[in-house]
Amino acid sequence: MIVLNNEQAFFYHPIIKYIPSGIRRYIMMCDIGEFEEIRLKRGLPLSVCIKSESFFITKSGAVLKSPQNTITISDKDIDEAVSLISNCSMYAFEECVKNGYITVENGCRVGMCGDIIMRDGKVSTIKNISGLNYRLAREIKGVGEGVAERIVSADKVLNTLIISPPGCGKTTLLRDLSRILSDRGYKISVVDERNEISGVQKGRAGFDLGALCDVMQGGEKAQVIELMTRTMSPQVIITDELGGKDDVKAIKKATRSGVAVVATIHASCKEDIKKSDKELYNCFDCFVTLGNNKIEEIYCDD
Amino acid sequence: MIKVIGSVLIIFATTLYGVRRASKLSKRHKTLEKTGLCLQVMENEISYTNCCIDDVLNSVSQICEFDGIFNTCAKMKGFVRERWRRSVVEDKVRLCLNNSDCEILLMLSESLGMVSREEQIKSIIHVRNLIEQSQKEAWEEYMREGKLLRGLGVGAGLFIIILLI
Repeated sequence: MIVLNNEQAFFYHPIIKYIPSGIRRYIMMCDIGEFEEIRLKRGLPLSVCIKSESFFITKSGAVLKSPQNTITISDKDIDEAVSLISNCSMYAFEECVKNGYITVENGCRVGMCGDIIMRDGKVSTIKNISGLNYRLAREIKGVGEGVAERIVSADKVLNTLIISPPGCGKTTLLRDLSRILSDRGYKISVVDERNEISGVQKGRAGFDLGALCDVMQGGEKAQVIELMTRTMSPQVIITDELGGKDDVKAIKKATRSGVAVVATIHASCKEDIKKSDKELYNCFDCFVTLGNNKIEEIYCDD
Repeated sequence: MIKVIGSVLIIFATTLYGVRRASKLSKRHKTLEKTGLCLQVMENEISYTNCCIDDVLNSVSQICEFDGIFNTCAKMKGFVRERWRRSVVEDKVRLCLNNSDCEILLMLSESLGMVSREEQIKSIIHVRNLIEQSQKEAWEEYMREGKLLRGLGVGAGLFIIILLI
C-alpha cells in the first residue's frame, strides 16, 4: 500500500499510530490484517507473528522466515513506542504496567518487558523497557456460532470454559459468543479486566458485543464478577483468562446465584485443568478446546 | 539648549537601562516563584488524578494563570519530553531565566511522562526544591543589585554628562 501521510496510515489500521514512525512505513508495506503480533526488541530485528508463526520484515517490506536484511529496532524506536502507547503518561498506566501491558485502541494489547522493580514482594513497575509485543485484536463475526449452538441447552446457557494456549483465539471467540448470545436475548455482563474483549474507549465498546451487553473494564476480576452479579442482573457473565483462587470463588458464587459463566483459561486440554484445579473444573459443564486458531473439541455434560 | 536636551536624553537612556536591568532581576524572581507554584499544581494533578500529561499541562496553565513554560508546552505538539525542552529554550529570554534555571527545568524533561507515578512525583519535587533555591538566590540578587542598578543608571548618565561638559 502506498502511504501518503500519517492520517491515511492511521485510518488503515488503528494500531499504526502506536508504532514508532521509523518503522511505520515498513509495516505499511505488508498486509497488517494478517498479523497477530508485532514484536519490537531493542537492538534486534522487527518480527511479526502470522498464524502462530514468527516472521521478519525486510527493508523492502518482504516477510521472511530468516532474519536477513531486516529492520533493527533502535533505542529511539522503543522510547518512541513507549511514549506513543502511554500517551507520554506512563504514570497514568501504572496499574497496567505492573501487570506487564498497556491496552491501546480497539482492544489491542501491548505487552512489555524490561527490568522489574519489586516492592513488598510485589511488582511495583517495569523500568528500562527492552521489548514490546503488540497483540492485534480481531473481530471475526460468526466464529462462535457452532460453540453457541452447543453451550445453550433448554434455553439455558451452560457454564463454559474455553481452553487454549496463548494466541489461539480465545478472546476472539469470547467476543463473538457475547454478540451471539446477546442478540439471542440473553443479558450479558462482560468482565473485562484488561479491556481486551470490549476495547472500550471513552465508554464506547470498540467491538460489537451485542445489544444486551454491559461491560465493566478494569478492576479485579473476582470483585467485578460479584459486583456485576449484584447490580446488573445478568444471565451470562463473560470473562477472560481465569487465574487465582479468588476467581474460582467468584465464579462459584455467580453460578450459585443462577448466572451462567463463560470464561477462558490458558491450558492445553481439559484434563490439565482437571488435574491441576479440580475446584475450577467442577464449576463448568462445558469445555471448548482451541488449537492453531481452530476449535478442536467441544465437550459438554448434557 | 541643545546641550540641555542632550543631557536629558543621556540621563533618560542610562536610567532606563538601569531600570530594565533591575526589572529583569525582579521578573526572574517572579518567574521562578510562579514556576514553583505550577510544579506544585502539577504534582497534585499527577498524584490525585489519572489524567494524561496533556490534560495535566492544560490544567496547570489554567489554574496558575501564568503565561510560562507550562503554557507554551501545552500549546505545542509532539512528544512531551521534546516539547518541554523546546518550551524551556524558547521561553528563556522572555521569562528572564538564566542558564542554571534552564538546566534545572530541563532535568524534568528526562523523566516527564516516562516513569511511574511515584518516580514522577519524586522528580517534580526535586526540581521544585531546586527552583525554590534558585528563587531565594534570585530574590537576594534583586535586593542586592536592584536598587544599585537603578541608582547606577542615573549616576552613569550624570557622569557621562560631566565628562562631555
